[in-house]
Amino acid sequence: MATRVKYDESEIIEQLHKQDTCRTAFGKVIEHYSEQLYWQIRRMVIDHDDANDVLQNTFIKAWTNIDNFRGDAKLSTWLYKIAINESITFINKKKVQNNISLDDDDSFLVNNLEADRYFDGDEAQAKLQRAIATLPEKQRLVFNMRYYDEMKYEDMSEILGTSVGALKASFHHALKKIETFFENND
Amino acid sequence: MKNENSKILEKLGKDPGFKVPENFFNDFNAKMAASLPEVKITEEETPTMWVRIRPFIYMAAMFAGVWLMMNIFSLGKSSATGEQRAANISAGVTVEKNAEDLMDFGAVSDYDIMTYEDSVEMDESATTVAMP
Repeated sequence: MATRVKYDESEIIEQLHKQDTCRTAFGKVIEHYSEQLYWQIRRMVIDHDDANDVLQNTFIKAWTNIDNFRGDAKLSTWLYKIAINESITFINKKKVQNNISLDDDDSFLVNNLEADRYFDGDEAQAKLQRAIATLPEKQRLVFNMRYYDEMKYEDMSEILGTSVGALKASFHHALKKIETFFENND
Repeated sequence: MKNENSKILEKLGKDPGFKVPENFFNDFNAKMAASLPEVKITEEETPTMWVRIRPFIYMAAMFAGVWLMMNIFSLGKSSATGEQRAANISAGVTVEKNAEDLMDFGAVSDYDIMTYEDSVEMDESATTVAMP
């Protein structure tokens, strides 16, 4: 079992703003956030290799812009925002590569889910992923954050820049659509 | 949270069925940390004591200057009126003092007053006779 390095966010932020300590501090940030960001990205892009690439891009972007992070928001909020933007950019690029309209849903991502060597879910789990992939991007994000991460609406609101009420409505709509998908695909 | 989920989701649970290669996160963390490019951090300089107190010193100096100017102007004004007032007071005191002296130590008696009145009456009658 890997030993976790002591993580004190305010201390880390202070170290991130000093030339001689920033690299070590960012190493701790990677260690602390890589897993949670990976799962957030993976649920968006579905494929493991793609999630790996997007996670790398997320940390590179955060690292090269670390000077702009002044600690006004939480580090986790900032990193989640970058991860979500990188995921959406990646999906849109993939749509363009596959000649899919940007307005279409992200169902193409789960076409080969069962063939994926890093997916070991059963038929019902694959069906849920297909149902989630039919949701509009924002609803997908809200559903994943709330259902899988059990994230508070207030935290989601900070990350997505949407009101709590709108997020609750998004989650409710997503649930209804998933139920409808299951009813229509029995 | 449980109440807001549908029955379908409750049956499925929260495992999405995704997995990662063995030791993925440890390897990723090590590789990622090693592959970070060089960045230049703009360090915020710690302000010296002088830099921190400078605004207060400037403000204090400004107030002191204003106070000093106000005092210089009001001093000139008040000294002029003071001299005048002193002269007035001094004059007042002299008049009062003379009057008191006259009352207390004056050599004017009732006899002098009667003599004075008689002389005045005589002058008047003389003037009256002389008139045609």
